[in-house]
Amino acid sequence: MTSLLPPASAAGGALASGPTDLSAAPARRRRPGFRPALVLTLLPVLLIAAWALFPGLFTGQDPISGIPQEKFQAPTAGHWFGTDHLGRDVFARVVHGTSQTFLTAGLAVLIGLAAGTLIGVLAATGGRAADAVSMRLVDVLLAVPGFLIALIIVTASAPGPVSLGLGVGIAAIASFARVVRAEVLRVRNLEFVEAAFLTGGTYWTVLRRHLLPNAAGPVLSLVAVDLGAAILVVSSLGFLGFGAPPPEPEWGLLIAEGRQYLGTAWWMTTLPGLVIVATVVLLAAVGRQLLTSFRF
Amino acid sequence: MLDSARSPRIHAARTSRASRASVRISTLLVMGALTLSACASGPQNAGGTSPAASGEAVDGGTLVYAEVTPINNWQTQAARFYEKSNVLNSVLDRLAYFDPDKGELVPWIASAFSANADSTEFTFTIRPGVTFSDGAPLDAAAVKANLDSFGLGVPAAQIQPNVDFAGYQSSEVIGTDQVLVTLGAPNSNFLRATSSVTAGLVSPATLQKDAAGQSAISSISGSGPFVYESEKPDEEVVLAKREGYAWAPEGAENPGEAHLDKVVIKYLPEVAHRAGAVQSGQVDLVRGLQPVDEAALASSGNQVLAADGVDLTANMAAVRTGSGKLADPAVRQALQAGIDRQTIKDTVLSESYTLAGSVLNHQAPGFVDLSADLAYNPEKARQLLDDAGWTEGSDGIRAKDGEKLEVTVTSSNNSVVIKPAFELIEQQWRQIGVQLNNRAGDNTFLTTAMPDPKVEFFGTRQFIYGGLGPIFEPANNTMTHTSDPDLNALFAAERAAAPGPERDKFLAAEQQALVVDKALSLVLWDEVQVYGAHRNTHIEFTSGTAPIFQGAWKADG
Amino acid sequence: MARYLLHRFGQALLVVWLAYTLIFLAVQLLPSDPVTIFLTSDSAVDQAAIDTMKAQYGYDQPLLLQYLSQLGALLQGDVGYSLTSGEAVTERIGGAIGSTLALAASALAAAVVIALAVVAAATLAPSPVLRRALANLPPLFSAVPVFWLGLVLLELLSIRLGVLSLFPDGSFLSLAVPVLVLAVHVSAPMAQVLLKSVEQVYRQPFIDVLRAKGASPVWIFCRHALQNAAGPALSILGITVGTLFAGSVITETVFARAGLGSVVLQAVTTQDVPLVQGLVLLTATVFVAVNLLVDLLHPLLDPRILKDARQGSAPALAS
Repeated sequence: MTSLLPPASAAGGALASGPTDLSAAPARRRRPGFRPALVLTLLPVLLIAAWALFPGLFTGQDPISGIPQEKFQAPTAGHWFGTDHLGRDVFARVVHGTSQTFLTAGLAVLIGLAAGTLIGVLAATGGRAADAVSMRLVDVLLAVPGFLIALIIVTASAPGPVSLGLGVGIAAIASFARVVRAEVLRVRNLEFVEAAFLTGGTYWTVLRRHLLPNAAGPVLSLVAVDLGAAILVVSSLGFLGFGAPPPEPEWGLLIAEGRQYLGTAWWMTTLPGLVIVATVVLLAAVGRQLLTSFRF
Repeated sequence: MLDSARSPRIHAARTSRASRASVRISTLLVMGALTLSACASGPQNAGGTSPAASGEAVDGGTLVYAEVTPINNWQTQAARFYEKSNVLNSVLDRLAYFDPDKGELVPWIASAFSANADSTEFTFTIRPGVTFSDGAPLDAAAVKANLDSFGLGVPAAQIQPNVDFAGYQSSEVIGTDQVLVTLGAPNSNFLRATSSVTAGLVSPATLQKDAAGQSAISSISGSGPFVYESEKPDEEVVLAKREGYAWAPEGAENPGEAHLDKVVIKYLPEVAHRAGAVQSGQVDLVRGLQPVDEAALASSGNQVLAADGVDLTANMAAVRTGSGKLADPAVRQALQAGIDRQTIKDTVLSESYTLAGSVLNHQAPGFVDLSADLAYNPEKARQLLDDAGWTEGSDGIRAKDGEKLEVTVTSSNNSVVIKPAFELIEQQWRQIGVQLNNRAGDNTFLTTAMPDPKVEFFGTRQFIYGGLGPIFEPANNTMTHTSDPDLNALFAAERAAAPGPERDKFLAAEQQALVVDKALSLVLWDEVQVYGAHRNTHIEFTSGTAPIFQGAWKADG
Repeated sequence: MARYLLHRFGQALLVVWLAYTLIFLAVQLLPSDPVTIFLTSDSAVDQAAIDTMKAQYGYDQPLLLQYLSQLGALLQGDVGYSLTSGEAVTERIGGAIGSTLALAASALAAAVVIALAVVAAATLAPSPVLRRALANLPPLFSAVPVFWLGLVLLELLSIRLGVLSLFPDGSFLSLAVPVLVLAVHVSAPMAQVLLKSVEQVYRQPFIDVLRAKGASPVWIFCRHALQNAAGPALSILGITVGTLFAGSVITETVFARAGLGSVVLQAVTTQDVPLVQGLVLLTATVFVAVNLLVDLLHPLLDPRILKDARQGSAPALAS
């Protein structure tokens, strides 16, 4: 993700970076199976997904228009997360903000994944020249702080899901490209892939049937982790004044804007903040689970 | 978030008497943030247990003042935002000073000034014995050099002319101590323009410097009661008292040297920490206290000081008609009627704020109360919009000829209350079928929206030393981006009229046209800067809301 | 070796040049133009003044010409002048970089310590439950927004407890707290990579041999696991440059510290193009320099790398 968020990029980048990776050797495949731990971590993620899809099921309160007389109310049974400076229910804003939050983060990850996969596969399978060119491109993307790229893109167009997603996504390309490249290189040298080539497989069929699916584990893991990371970058951009305009209840913006009332209404930034922290940690856990499930 | 730059154009005047007229003090004994309504004269102390609210001035000590955000361009005549003028106000003197108690200009560096009958020629007599901090004399030649730089700019240093000096032609030194200014057109507001911080006098050596030299506070020499001592860029500026200062404006309570030895200006961009900074004693004075923190600060025994912006317009949404959606005055009137200002005050403002009665401040000369025309009336708003052909669509937003009534507002983040205020306005306008894109407080957007006439609203407040004309008159003015012939005729008549009842007549007509008939300015609340001050700090403010460090003291020295 | 060095140096220069070019193109995306923004910040300005200033800065030239002349000036060491303050870009950045370097370098050192401590604890803790819990610390560290942690600490330490100044005052705490906030953020990826590598080392048969021989867990950890894991951990340094940069911007903003943070934000907000370009030049140079250094150090820690690099199979600058 942008340089703000090393966890994803760094962890993902290093876990498969060829020569230093001690785990590259074993070639025995373990099929993904039922994993209780994965299910346990997935459950809360599913709950959040449900927030995004059916927010109305979880709260009956209006996330956009508040009741001015009820401003700055501390958390109660009626307002789980309290109310904000305009008398809006903060929990309702968190729930209703889920979809935009994940749209933005999802777009960022999609951009990183798509462009990163393209560059990574090209680098790993296109010969030395393609590799050199692709990797210089990745170096350039790493050398310009992704954070600065995001700032410029958000400045160039209005901050919104698309521009924020684009800005954060471009910064994510490099880490995806490196993981994909390393994975494809690793898988390519495995016996069954060589066998596929030997038995007359073309470049495309081998790529589609063998290389990509077998490289998918670490990449999917990176997707999960980067999704959380993107949420955090968007939030940091909001803190610096580059967030989506109100009244959109985007998560990052909720904590970024609620911080103004830290001294008087702690709940406005703290409770949505806890939701973000929990989500990011969960996504990281899902990423780890995916990695161990798919790794072979 | 950085330079809250595009904030109002500030021309502050300074003296303790001015400030008393415009400062309302609430202290701990007054529950919450209760404020006394401003009265026209005399000092006010509410409560009175604050050691600094009354009592004798104490000499010595260092006052720590927290500004909102650091700036790095201190070029004096571009001192158009608070961060800059609040500091330069104590470093630079001006020719004249506007005393709101008397309602007129009084001598400062100019010991006398006069205008010819049609306000095209002005003569200033320069006070003897004044020196800049670099030792150069502040004489007629130095004044001429300064006036030329205001009126004509300094092309070599890429410094633009001062907008309040429009029409400036030339200055000449007459005799030993007089300067004669010639304008190309009558302007009875010219004298007052010389009293603003943007007309602060700097040493001739400063004027000779290049752009970078003139924008570094370390190289600016003025004749004010404080001089630059040191700076840590983006962190602090330290001012030290000017030894031997003896030329405060006529009638100033403290005519001589400042009581304080030093003023340290620091920066506190985080709104949440401002009240706490005063409460924990880390700063003596902080600007930009947010309404929600006022009560807590007052009840902790410290002071909440509301400095009224008498010299500024009210906070308003200035209307740009470039997108065509607001071309019809009835639509603009509907939008004003659709703003529930009392709810805004009750929800996101405080008792420190006064709802605007016009585009001028309640205490400003020539103010006329148009409150009756500004009342919240959603039924009237809907009716006006219906009549204008904007009909409600299925999504609740009105449209006409396939175009939605979707408008955008821009503003700097200089004001702590403007963004939440527009959040409420967004809700209120949705009730009458208007969609507001709230980009208030987004400085990045502001940089492009300021020169863009298609951005319908500019949330702002402006200084009016040159009258309302310089703000609304030019074809590319950033308020409306249009030149209205009726208004311009009024502005010209106002400038040519003799100060007094005749000029007030035109001022009243301007307000009626701007606020009611043409509704080019949707007015919200009177400009006020709410400061938090430590209980031991005595501080007053100019009618331009700048703190007067020369008259300030700390009870514990 | 000399040829390898020359090759790598050439690559580094290429990357810096490409980064500069990329950002030159990116800033063309920005709406309006810096001169108009600068001049209209106050009030109405006539077009002539805008045009004059544009000509002064060369913004009236065709894009390619602008690019070539800027590149030419750059080769002679002239990065240009900030549009907002009129200062030379090198001066503006030079004046701010010291404070940021102090913060970033201290944070990096602290992050290494934190990462090592977490990994040691998560490896050596007596109970498996505790080890598992500790292993979850790095994801948690990376999930807490930097600005939020900083603001909460300020509220607690400065306003509630009064032990910390809201402003940088040169005291130990006023550097230590921002450093800690940034270090927690930066340590997360390091700890994750290190933990992963250490776990892999523990799966190697020779560890069992050492255990059987009666080597103490601490000795195994320090002497073998850490040493073998140092390589991957070192490679993460390269990416940490960007993380430190972004983290510093935020940390400086929270703690009202002078430094590159305010320069970056101001440059972008006011679309001060020369300043943005200068910043990118700086970060790109630091990035390639650190990675060059890491690559040169790597063989010392892990001889397999050099052989690999010579074969040219994976000489990615930042791997």
